[in-house]
Order: sequence, then C-alpha cells, then structure tokens
Amino acid sequence: MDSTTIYPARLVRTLWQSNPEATAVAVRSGRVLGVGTLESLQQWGPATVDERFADKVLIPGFVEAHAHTMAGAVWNFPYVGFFDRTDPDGKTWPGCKSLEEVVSRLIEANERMDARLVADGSEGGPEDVLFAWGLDPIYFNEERLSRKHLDLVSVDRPIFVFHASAHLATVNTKMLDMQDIGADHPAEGVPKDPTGFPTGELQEPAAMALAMPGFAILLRAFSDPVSAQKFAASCRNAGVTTVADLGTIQEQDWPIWEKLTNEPDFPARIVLAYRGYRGNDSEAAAKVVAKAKGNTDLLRFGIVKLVLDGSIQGYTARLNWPHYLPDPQDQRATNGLWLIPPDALTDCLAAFHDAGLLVHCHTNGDEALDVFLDAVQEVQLRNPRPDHRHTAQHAQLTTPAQFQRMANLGVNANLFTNHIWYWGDQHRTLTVGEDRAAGMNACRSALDAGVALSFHSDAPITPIGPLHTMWCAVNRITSSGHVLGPDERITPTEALQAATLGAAYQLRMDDEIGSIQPGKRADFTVLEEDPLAVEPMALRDIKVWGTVLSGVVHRAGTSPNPVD
Amino acid sequence: MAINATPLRIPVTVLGGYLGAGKTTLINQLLSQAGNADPVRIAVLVNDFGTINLDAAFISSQSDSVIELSNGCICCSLADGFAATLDQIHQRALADPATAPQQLLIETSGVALPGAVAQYAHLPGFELASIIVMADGEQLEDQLADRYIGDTIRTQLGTADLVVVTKTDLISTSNLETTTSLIRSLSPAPIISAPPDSDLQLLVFGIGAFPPSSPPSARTSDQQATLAIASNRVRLVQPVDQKALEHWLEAAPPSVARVKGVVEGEKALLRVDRVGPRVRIQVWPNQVAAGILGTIEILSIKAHPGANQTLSQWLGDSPPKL
Repeated sequence: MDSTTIYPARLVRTLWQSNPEATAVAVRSGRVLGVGTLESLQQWGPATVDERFADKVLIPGFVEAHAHTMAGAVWNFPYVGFFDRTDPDGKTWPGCKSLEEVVSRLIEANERMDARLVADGSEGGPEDVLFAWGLDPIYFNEERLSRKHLDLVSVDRPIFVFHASAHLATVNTKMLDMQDIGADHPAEGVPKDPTGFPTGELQEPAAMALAMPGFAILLRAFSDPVSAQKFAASCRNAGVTTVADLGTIQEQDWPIWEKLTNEPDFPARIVLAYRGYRGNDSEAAAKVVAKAKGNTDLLRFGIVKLVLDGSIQGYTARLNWPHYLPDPQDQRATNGLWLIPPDALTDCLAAFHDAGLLVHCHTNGDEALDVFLDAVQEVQLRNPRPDHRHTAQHAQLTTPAQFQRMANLGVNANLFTNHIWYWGDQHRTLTVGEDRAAGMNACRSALDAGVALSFHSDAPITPIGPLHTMWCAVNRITSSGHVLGPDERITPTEALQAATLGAAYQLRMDDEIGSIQPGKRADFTVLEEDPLAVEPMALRDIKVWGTVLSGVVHRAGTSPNPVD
Repeated sequence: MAINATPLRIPVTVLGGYLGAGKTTLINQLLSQAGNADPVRIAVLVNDFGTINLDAAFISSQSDSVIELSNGCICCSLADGFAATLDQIHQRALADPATAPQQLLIETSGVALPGAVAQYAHLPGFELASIIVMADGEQLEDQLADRYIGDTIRTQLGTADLVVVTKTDLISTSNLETTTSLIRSLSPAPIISAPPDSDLQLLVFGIGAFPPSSPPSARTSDQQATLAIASNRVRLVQPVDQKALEHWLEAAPPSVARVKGVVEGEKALLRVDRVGPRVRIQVWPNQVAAGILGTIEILSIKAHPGANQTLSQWLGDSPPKL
C-alpha cells in the first residue's frame, strides 16, 4: 500500500461544503485521502506527518482556465511595460514609467547582448535582434516611442519592441534600413514623421511582419521548450496548479508538452485547448477526441477554443448598439471585427458539440455573445447534450438579459476581471463610457443569474495571478483608483470559489480538482495568509509559498531552468 | 499578358467576399484552367484545403501545408498565418526562381477585411496587384441589411478594386439592377456580373498585372468577341503633363478595371496605374521598348452599367502634350 502523508496546517480551506475548514489534510498516491485534524486522520492508519505547512494556509490549487503558454516565452526578453511584473524566477521587474526608463532598460539589455557575443566569440548577425515586450504607450502622456528613441540604444543592432496591445511594434532605424522600409513604403500601418520617413511604429501584424527578424521571434516563441518550462514556473509562483492554454499551442508542438509533462517535478497541469475553425472541423473534432483518450495526469486534451471577435481596447470586439464612443479623429469603424462568420458558427460549434467536446468561445463584445448563444441554442435543439458546459470567454459586456439566457442554456462565463484594473480607466473614458464600463465583467450579475462563474488573466495579456484576479472581482478598482461599478463586486468567498472550483467546472474537471475533498487530486495552493480573513484590499498582497500538485510539493520562485 | 513571366516581386491578388459569394468556385476554376493555353504558375493561399476540389491525378505532391499540382500551381494552407506562409513562399522563390509562382492569390475568410489582408502584399518579394471582392447576387441585399454582417460586407466592398457579382442567373434583371446600384453606392470599383469562364485568368490577374507587354488585343478578334472584358489602347502624345495625366486617370468611367502603361513625363519615365478606382503614378526607373512607351492599355468591363456612353468619350479626352 502507498504511504500516507499528513500535512497539518494553520488552516485548510477545502471549498467542500460538508467540511469547509480543517487543520490537516492526508495525502496518498497523489490524492486527497481525508481532511480534518491530525487526530481524526489517524483512522487511515500509519502516516508520515509533514510539518512544513504548519503555519500556512492551504486552499485548493488555483485553476486558470484561460491563459497562453507564450506567457513563458516573453521572459526570454526584456520587459518594458508600465506595471511591475514578476518573472518565472520570482524577480520583479519594475514598470517603466517614462520613455526614458524604457530606453535605459533597453540600453542595459543591449549591453548584456554585447557581453554575450563577446563571451561566445560571435559576431552576431541579422538574427541578433534586441527584442523587448510589454510597452503600453497608453500610459505615457508624452510623445510615443519612435525609432529615434531606439536609435539611442543602438544604431547597429536591429531592435523590435512589441507593445502590450499585441497590435503594435516599434523598431529602430537599423531595422527599417535592413528591411528596406523607407519613405516611399506603400504599406498602411507604417506611419511617417514630418520628414516623410517612417516613425518606426508598425501597426497591425501585416506591418509588424515587415520587420521579419523581430516578428519571427514572436512566431518561434510558441515552440520553445525552455519557454514552456518558464510558463509552468510562472503558474507555480502564482499558486496555479492547473492551467488551460486556450488555443495557442498547435498540433506540431504537442510533443514538446508530452515530453515536458512527463518529466518529474514539472510544476503544473496543462490543458491544451484546440483552436477550431481552421479547416475541417469534423476531422479536427475526431482528432481531439482521439487525443483526449491518451490524457495523462499533467496533460489534458478535450477542450476546443473558438475566437469570434476581437478586443474592446483595440476597438475590434463586436458590440451591440450603441457600439463604441465616438472617435475624436473619426477614423475608426463603428463596430469591430468578426473572426468567424456569424453564419458559420453554428456548424462549426456543432462539429465539436456533436463529438462530445467542450467549447470555449472568445466573445469579448455583447454582440458576439448573442451570436454564440444563438449557436449554442441551435446545436442543443439539433442534438441535445445535457451538461455540455460550453463557456463564453471574456464576455466583458454581458447584459443581465444575456446572463439569464446563459443560465437557461447552461453556458458558463469566464470573465476578464483583470481588465478592471489594467484598462478600466480607458473603458470609462475611451471605449464604452462610464455606465457600460461599470457593468463590465459583471461578476455579481452573473452569480445572481445563476451562471457558473470563473475569471482569468489571459496571460500574457495580463500577468497570471489568481489572487490579483480575485482582488479585481472583489474590489473593482482601476489603476487610477476609481471604483468601477461597485454594485458588481463579489465577496472574497465567491471569488475564491470562482478561481478554483468554478474554473475546474468549466474545464469539466470539478470531479477531480477545484476543492480539497477525499478522492480528488492532492492539489493545494500554499499561502501565507487566509484569503477570506485579510482585508479585501490586501488580497493580492498575500504571499504564495508554493503549490502541491498531485501530492508533489513545488516551492515558488525556484526555477528548473534559471533565466540568465 | 505578362502573367506568365516570372516577376521580381510576385503580384498578390486578394480575393474577398462573404460566405457563399463564390470564392472557392472561382479558385477551383482558376486552378483547373492554369495549365491551358498559357501556363501560369499560380500559388493559392486558402484557409481550408478541404474545400478545394482537386482531382487526385492532378496532384503531384502533398504535405500538411502545401499541395503541388502537375500544372506547376501550388495550394498553401494558411494555418501558420499570412506572414509565415508568405515568408516561406518568398524563401522558396529565392532558392528556386524557375519554379516560383508568377501569381499569388489569397483567399480571405468570409469576414476578413480584404483591405487589411492586402497589407501583407507589401512583404519582401511581393507586390499588391488588386483586391477583388465577390458578392452573392442573390443574397447581397439581405446581407447588407443584416444586423451582424452588414457593416463587414460594406467595408469589404468599399476596399475592392473590382467587384464580381455571382449567382446572377438566380435573380431577375431588376433585382440585379438593385444589387448593382447598391454596390455602386458603396464602392467606386468596376462591377462584373457573373464571372466569365473563358477569360477568368485575365479577369483575376490581368486587373493587377504589370508591366505591359503583349496585351490581349494581340489575340484574334474571334477570341476578343468572347471576352467579357474589352481591351483598348490609347497612344498618348508625349511628354505628358503629370497633373493632367492624373486628372484624366481619375475621370475614368466606372467600367474601367485597369489602366496601365509607361509614359514619358517632364523629367522621367512614369509608371501609370489605375487598378479599379486606385490611381498611382510613380517614376519608372527601368527601360521600356519604344513600341510600348506612351501606350496606355485599358481593360474595361463590357457589360458595365453605363459603360458604353462614357468609355469612348473618356478615351478621346486623353491628356494634352506638355
């Protein structure tokens, strides 16, 4: 018989209604054997008592049901964003609060690259690009980053700075010259300065791709095993035990994840959602069904991701009337973009629904959500599937009537509460206005309507960190300190439920993870404080000690592949 | 036509239009005709191989992302995205110019904005030829009124260099007139109803082709008679005044799908282009044969609403000598 370990703790919050609090948990064969007290657990026979969590708080392992594994890859490169951000080794990179700070950070990175070339005895070459990420010009009141700023960093090495919005990049003159992007370049998305020469900003992927040596780094980032390790380390540091990559890992990179998740001490359980609507969906559905038969503890298939519209901050989400606030320059379209034709969604959804798969559909705007709900209703009429658990992702502008309809149809909401902090002020003033911004990511309305709720980071769009994501749902504070829609706040208890069991439910894993209950995987997040006892404003400041994943202890801030 | 010479930059034609407008049918026709009289190596970029109707005997090799056909055409999947796919084609063309595609056609998804996709044609090794948007003659009116897709289709039509209306056999003449006038209210591009079978290559690629070499008027008059597209040539008195030339190009009637040529300007040779409604005049740095210099070639849609009244008048209005 496998051995038993009992972990006494200051407090165990089980999220199991029948035994909500305990002071010890017993683990056997990677699963929860029992919860209770050190004494009550003796009834399972001899056990090793491991005291290391005696002064910690154990909660169910956090489940992040919407992230992207490239959140690991970005840490191969310097970060130049506005907000402080912590890398997979636990080092916090302070935000760059001005363009001068961006330039200084890049100069340091450039010097490190020079030093590495000297150490390697290498000359460099066109592939030797200084790539940086996370720039958010929305927070700089002064001028925009241009090639002139980047020329202060280097005139010899091409530079590519990828913006946080993912829609823009800025390059230096060296990159422009190398790629022959000059004054007469015909592409849209290559703005010119008053002298007629490109400013260095490249708008949208078609223009960014002109700087191919930099853009190629982005394209390659998905299939780098080291980045995969870094992603898993970031999850562990944030207390996440199960994470879904929603549709960014393509088939050819599955073997990387199969190999990594089989290695001892891999610190996260990975759900790889298949991106649909890329060819024959029925064939794809059969492939995913077959793949899911080989699921292991730490690698899961069986979820499908569809992307119906764009983003609200990029004005590409599909909104119902009255759409977006007027554009002062009057250059924007009144509404956003479809990525799947609305008429094609039902058949596409049906291909996966009929195969028994669970579909997560990106619907940022409320009009996109209407189309998704229509499609769910139609596939359910054609082929009723009880307990389908199809989920609307982001669903940021969902109205009360839509939440009610979601509840009726059994559609779950995975809301993007981090938007409240990161873009809440922009939503009030630039995208949808004060009133609709107050109703964005309306967790209270979702729960009141009876919709199964979770929320997410969409890392690397915002940093992975369920405590922060919970903090946003509980406090609804924007980065300027404004409370956005106080009536949509939820309690810390509800937020904790959404970040664990709620997300597990949306991945159809709530029978296995999401609470600390006999028979479930021994997945715990180890915290220094009780999230239900601290001041709600202190939620995001709670330190994560580490995690336990199927009974294996993982300490936060230790990296299997240290960043140089 | 110059469509069977290997150009320095591969001309890119972007094919847009909502679901059911006939993009796939047109691509299937093009691929099956590509080996006929004037073989043209076409590369087609599609979202889904499954919809392309290829005879197995016609396929010379196949991988996950590329199907090679026995007539030299290739069909590439867009699963890796536009940038990576175009970059692969560019690298292949550099490595083996003899088999490089002479024309590249991108099939966009039904909701894509072809004007945005067309920006990828500015990547190294490519040049934007034209944007063709297809419209479902039977459905267009309803689609334009649709809450979800009306604005998307309006934007698609607005960026077209040529609009191809399909399924015209399913609607009455008066309905076709309504559809045509709807399109004309949204787009300055020439409109062709029911794509012709016989000169499809000319329609799709001739619109964007450059430089001028042997124009279709070299064909026999019998062949001419079957064309839905008329070809005309005007010889300009040189050197021309660039401003006057520009005004003349902008005044072309809506039936004019393509104007191209190289003329002598005040200081340099000028490359003259009008693709659909887009006019562009640039300095032409290369040489050009004496017989071609000063000759402007015009392709126009024969059965275009109002075409006959104005084309000849416009042709007679060519810009004066400088």
